[in-house]
Amino acid sequence: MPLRIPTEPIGSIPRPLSLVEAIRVCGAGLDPALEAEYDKAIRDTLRRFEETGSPVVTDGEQRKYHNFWTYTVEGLPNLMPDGFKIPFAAGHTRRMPRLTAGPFRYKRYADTYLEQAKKHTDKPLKQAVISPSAMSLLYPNEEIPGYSREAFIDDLLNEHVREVRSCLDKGAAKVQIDFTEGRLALKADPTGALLSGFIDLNNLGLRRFTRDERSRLGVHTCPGGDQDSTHSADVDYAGLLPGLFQLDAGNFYIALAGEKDRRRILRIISEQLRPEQRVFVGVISPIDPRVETAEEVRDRVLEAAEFIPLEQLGTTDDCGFSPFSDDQSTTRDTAFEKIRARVRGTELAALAIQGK
Amino acid sequence: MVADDDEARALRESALKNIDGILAARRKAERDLLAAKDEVELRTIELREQREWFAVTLSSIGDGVIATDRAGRVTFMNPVAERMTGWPAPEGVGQPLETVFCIVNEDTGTTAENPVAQVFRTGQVVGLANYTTLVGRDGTRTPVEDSAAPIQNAKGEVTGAVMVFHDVTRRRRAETALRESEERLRAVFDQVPVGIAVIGLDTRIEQANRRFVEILGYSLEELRQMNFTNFTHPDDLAITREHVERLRDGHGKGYTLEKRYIRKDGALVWSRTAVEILRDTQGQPHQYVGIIEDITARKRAEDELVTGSKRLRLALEAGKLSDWSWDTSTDIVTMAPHMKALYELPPEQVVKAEDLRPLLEIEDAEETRGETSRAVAERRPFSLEYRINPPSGKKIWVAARGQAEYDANGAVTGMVGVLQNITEEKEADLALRRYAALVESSADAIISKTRSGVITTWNRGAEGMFGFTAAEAIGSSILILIPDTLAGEEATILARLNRGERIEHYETLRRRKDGTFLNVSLSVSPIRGPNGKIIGASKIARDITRQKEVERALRETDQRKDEFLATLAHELRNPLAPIRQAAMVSQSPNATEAQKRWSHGVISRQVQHMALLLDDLLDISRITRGTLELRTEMTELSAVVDAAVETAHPAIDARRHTFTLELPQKPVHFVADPLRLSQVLANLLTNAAKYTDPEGSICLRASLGDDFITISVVDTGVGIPRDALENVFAMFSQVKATYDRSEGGLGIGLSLSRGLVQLHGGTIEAKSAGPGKGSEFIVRLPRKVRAQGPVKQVTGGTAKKAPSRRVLVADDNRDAAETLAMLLSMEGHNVEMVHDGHAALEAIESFQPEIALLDIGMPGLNGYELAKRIRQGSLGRAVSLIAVTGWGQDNDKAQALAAGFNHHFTKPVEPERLIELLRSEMKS
Repeated sequence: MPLRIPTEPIGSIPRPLSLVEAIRVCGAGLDPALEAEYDKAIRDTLRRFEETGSPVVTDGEQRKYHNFWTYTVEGLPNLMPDGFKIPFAAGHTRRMPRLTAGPFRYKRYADTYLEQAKKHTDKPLKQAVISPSAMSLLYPNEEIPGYSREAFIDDLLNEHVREVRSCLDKGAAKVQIDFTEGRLALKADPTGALLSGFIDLNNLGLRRFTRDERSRLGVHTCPGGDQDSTHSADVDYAGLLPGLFQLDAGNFYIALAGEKDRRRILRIISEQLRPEQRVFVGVISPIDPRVETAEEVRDRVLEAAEFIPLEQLGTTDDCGFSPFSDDQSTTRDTAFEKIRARVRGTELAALAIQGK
Repeated sequence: MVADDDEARALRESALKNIDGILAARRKAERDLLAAKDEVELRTIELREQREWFAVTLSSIGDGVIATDRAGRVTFMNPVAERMTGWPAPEGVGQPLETVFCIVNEDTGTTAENPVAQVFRTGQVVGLANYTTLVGRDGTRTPVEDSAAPIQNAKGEVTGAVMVFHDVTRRRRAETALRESEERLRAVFDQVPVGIAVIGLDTRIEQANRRFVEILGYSLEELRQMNFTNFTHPDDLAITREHVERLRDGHGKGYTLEKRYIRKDGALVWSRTAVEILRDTQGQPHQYVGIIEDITARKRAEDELVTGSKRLRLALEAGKLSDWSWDTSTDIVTMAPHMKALYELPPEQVVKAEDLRPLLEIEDAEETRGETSRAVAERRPFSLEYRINPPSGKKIWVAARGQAEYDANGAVTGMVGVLQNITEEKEADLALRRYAALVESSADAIISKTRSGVITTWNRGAEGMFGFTAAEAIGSSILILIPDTLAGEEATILARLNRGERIEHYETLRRRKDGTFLNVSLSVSPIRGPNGKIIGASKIARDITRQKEVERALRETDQRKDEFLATLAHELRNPLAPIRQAAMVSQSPNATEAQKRWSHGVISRQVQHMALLLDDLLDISRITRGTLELRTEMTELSAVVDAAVETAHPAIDARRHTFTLELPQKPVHFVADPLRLSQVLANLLTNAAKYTDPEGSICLRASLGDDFITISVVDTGVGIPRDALENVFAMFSQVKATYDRSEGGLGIGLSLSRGLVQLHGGTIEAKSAGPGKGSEFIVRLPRKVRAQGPVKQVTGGTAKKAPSRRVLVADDNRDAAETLAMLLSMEGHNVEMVHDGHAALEAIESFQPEIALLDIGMPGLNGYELAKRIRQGSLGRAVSLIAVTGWGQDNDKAQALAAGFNHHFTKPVEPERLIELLRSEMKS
């Protein structure tokens, strides 16, 4: 039986320019007039995914018209745009919205995206959702009168679990929780208390699922790529990974291609990885404008395989190619060429391991 | 990091503050978990208790219980299971189920599938299985009933199975007993000779025995899909439904009906059906029980009896047979209705033999009694044909056949038999006999022959006609009758028959046995066989030889008549030329008196000649039609001869013949019409003169016999050929090529003479030695001497001049009127002349004639009418009316006399006779 090393994308693919322009013209991503453009973009994304030979595909997060983080709450009346700023290494920032009143409820859930994508493909679909820890940053520094942090956290967990369960129930092959704020937490609080809090919070969500369900759940972490930059690449993985693998998820998607010392990180991973967990190492760097070759990818996989058992190893991209919808730093063609290289390189690695 | 410190600090602070919330949530989750653990522990305790309860329960229940894990290994056994399997639980647990719970099929003895295996295969509860025997560890066998169900975990996954089973030995025994009882009942149910069915209230068949199945021909399974209306005969449905509905409505406990069913194969079955309704303990009807008995054979026998009786009756009627029987003890004769009708007895009458005896034809009575008595004595059937005379007077022929019946002592107790009306047969037989007699007696030859021409019948007429006897002809070819020249005719006749033509009155020639030929008229009809094909022909041949001769004679007569008419025209035209010429001479102013007298003489002679011709014609007509009457009187022969000689004398003299007369010395008196007899003799003498060359000899000779007077006229003339002698007296006959036509005459003289002689009862005969050898005509007259009147003297003297009279002449023919008027004027009469009837009537009044000569066919008023008017007028019968007309028949004369005429003259009028009449009228 041939060896197959699983390979999955993270999620976002740059939106077609026509869609980006249409969203700009409409001024908001919820205009019904955009439906045709969304549908067209999803179909094209899925088609091109299939052309790369990807065994697992995503809708490229074409409907997350703003970003991967706030898509659940865009348009809520109890939000103000003046939340916390997330600074990126390239110097730009992304500002979070600010919750102004309770109770906290998602405005939309990712399972609606999954439903739409399923109409256009038979391939296993992966759906990315935002982590509770990231969403916890909506609550402002000052206490919201009449709506305690405890109540907010409770509401947040309920909404998160609801979203994940809906995706599982609607047939998602995998549900990936985007936890890009892990290294950011260490960066903000080098004591690790904040990271620990994030881990706890996310585990509270994960533990509401059965073991089998958790085998279809994964956690993605990366230094937060945006416009070929990151928000926490300078934070050492060594501080993050021990805590990360405490999450009760079955799968971990860890950016590695862009790391300087991958072998050190791989060693840490191998030390922290629990038996029931699989790690998908990043072999493609979306923020690198160069398209990796399949051989490069193959070599990165083979490198990872030196540290991680094959039955717990998978490959992925370091990050989404366009977590923010207006990020056009990478073209769709480049993104799919990189994905093609990942898929082919992973296959070559499997062949190489089998000595073929 | 390039964010400003305040933003970072706020983010960190806020995030850290969130940790409290997260910790709270975590604590809450932990509390929830603890609560859940408590719940689980509680549930575990409950479960343990429940398991204990189950264990106790399972140990105490009567059924065996075995539980297995997913691999089919025993995990639990209760005591019953231990006992029944022979495996103690400690040993049994962990064993494969098949080892502990070994079951075989009760009937086949083969290993049965373990219900647990079925549970694992299907994931479903497996119901109770019958006919399973549990083989215990020690080999004991226990009939069991088992079932199994899956054990599922909280996720619904099958983790094992539990099997429950129990010993059914006792029940099986009870079932066996019940089954045997049922089988016995079933055997009875199936073996009874009637069909039994249990029927639901919806009329569906629920159960039926073997006989029921046999009667209807459907299988039990098929019947169970049917209700009784499916096989009830359509004609019996209504009555059946009516009974069922009455039963269902509580009327009675059952019903019995003879009805029909239609078997599966379509055959009809008659049944005696008895149906009873079954009611439950509450009295509610819930089923019917139907018992059907196949009575088809009985019905068929009944039908056949009826049909046979009908058929016998029809056969008797078709054969015109009436059955009868006679009971000697009562004398009653039982007979079929139409036998009564034959005897014309009322249908309701009880008939006794004594009623029938008077109706027997007396002539047949003795024979009938005799034959009947003999048959009875000889104990044999009798057969009689006799006549009966029913009251209507019809004669009916009957044929009676019968036989006596005897009691044990040999005494006759009665008779039975049949009687047949054979009147038609008898009449047909009679007709056949008549026909045969007719055929046999027919003068016509009636012959039948086969298609190949072999003669098969030959009647007496054929014998006479053709000369062959029946023995000679039958079996011979028909060609013996056919002339060689007509050999192909038979084939032609046969071909026409084959085309369906009937041949009638086909005239042809046939040959007699002696080789002579005869003319026959054939009628030929085909004889057809039973299949309609022609197998022969029947011929009727009539000898028409004589008919052919008559036809030939008729043709000759016609020919003579044609010649006569030509002669008549010639003879009538001949006198006209001299008359016309003489008239011209007389009218010429240059004519001398001598020439005028000559002319008058010519005219007078020619007119007289024509009058004679016409008289002859009228006479021959009268003779032919039988209307000529002789005016017989005692006549003296010489006087008659003298008158004849006087008449013929001019012709004899003209050709300078020598005439001799030889008469008896003594006067001969006999009864005759002297004028007619004189006419005959004059005729013969004139003929002799005419057909004898000049200066020949003519002799009239009369002799007297005892009964006849024979008068012959002999000449030395041209003679008569032998073959013409026969026809010399025929009408219009003249001997051709010999008689000189220039001598004139109509050729009716001899025919007229023969007629007149025959009227006298005599004969006339011609003789001649041949052409040129003279002729002799011999008249023989019966010598009747009984005088019928005074002897009339035949005188040829001229009349004296008559005294003058007033005479009226009326004729539309002016010449006729004028010449007559002139003639009478010359006689000294005062004559007035008119030309039509009305003028005549006026002249009667104005002229007051004593005598009126009236034409009959006048315009305006005809002679008859005029006569009547005159007789009704002033003169009345004072005027003597004389009809002068061309209509000279006797009935014309009678009509004239009836109209009032005194006399009747036929044109042309002989002036002498008219003048004489005028004279005699004056005297009267």
